[in-house]
Amino acid sequence: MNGDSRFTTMLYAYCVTRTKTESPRNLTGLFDREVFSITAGDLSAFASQLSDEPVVVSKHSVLTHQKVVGSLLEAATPLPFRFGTVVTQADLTSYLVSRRKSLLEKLAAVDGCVEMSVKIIWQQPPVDDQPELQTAQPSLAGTEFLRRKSAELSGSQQLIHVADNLAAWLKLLLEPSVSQIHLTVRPTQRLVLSADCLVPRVQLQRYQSTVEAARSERPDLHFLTSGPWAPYSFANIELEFKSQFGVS
Amino acid sequence: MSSPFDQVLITSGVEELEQSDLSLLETLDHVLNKGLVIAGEITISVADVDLIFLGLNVLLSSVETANEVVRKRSSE
Repeated sequence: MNGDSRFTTMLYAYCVTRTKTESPRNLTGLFDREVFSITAGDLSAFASQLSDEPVVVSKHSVLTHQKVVGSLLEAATPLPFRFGTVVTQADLTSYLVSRRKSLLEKLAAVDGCVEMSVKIIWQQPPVDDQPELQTAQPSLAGTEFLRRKSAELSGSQQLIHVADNLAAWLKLLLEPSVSQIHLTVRPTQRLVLSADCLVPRVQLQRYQSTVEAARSERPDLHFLTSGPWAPYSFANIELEFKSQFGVS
Repeated sequence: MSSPFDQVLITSGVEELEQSDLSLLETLDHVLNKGLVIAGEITISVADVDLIFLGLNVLLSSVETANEVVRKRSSE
């Protein structure tokens, strides 16, 4: 690739790794283009070439992105780019150079780990489905309105309390086998709890046994588990976004 | 940003989804919503609604976010 083409050739970027990471042979990405590395010192970014085709958000393209990142995850833990990251080679190299310190710190934080996800769906209906907890309508007579309003608030608080207890229970179980855990609790939703866990590879078996034990302990809950993933949830995208554009 | 699972659970039960659908949901939840962002031109288009529902809200959010990035860069 000659010097001028670095500023015009568009690349689809998959992830960032330390330079020593080797790419699997014959690895192809979007549009069946070969995946290769762009190196800047001790950091490399894996990308494939694009021409004029738009990157379409389709099942095939999303799964291809994940296939590439997943293949590289087998050798070492990368920092994955969000789907749809299209840049020039010059911009990608500039990114590796200007963000070197931050990227090395993030790679160190996830080194030797993978991301595992647990989602819990409970059968308890949202607040609106429970008669005593239906939203109090202002048109109701005063006493009845106040009674319904009180029940609504009490029910919401109960749900929050139960959901928070559920989150605390899961966190306590998983903490011994994870490096970091991000929990999202939505008390009024059926998907009440999402946990993204950074799990050292050497702890994977222990982690999986713990999740199975949790599943057995709570047959009233529906567990959705997945992984291993590259650490999408631990790449701190929001910080990068905010510092660049001030997006809140 | 909402999870791809939110809409699914509003319109149907998780028990009704096949394992392949759940796998796709999880993939979308990870690669569309999270990961590093580089300040470059993000060119994506939404097409192909062979994705389970789901994602249309999530996809559109991702596209809007991407377009916002491009607009802000253009104004700098």
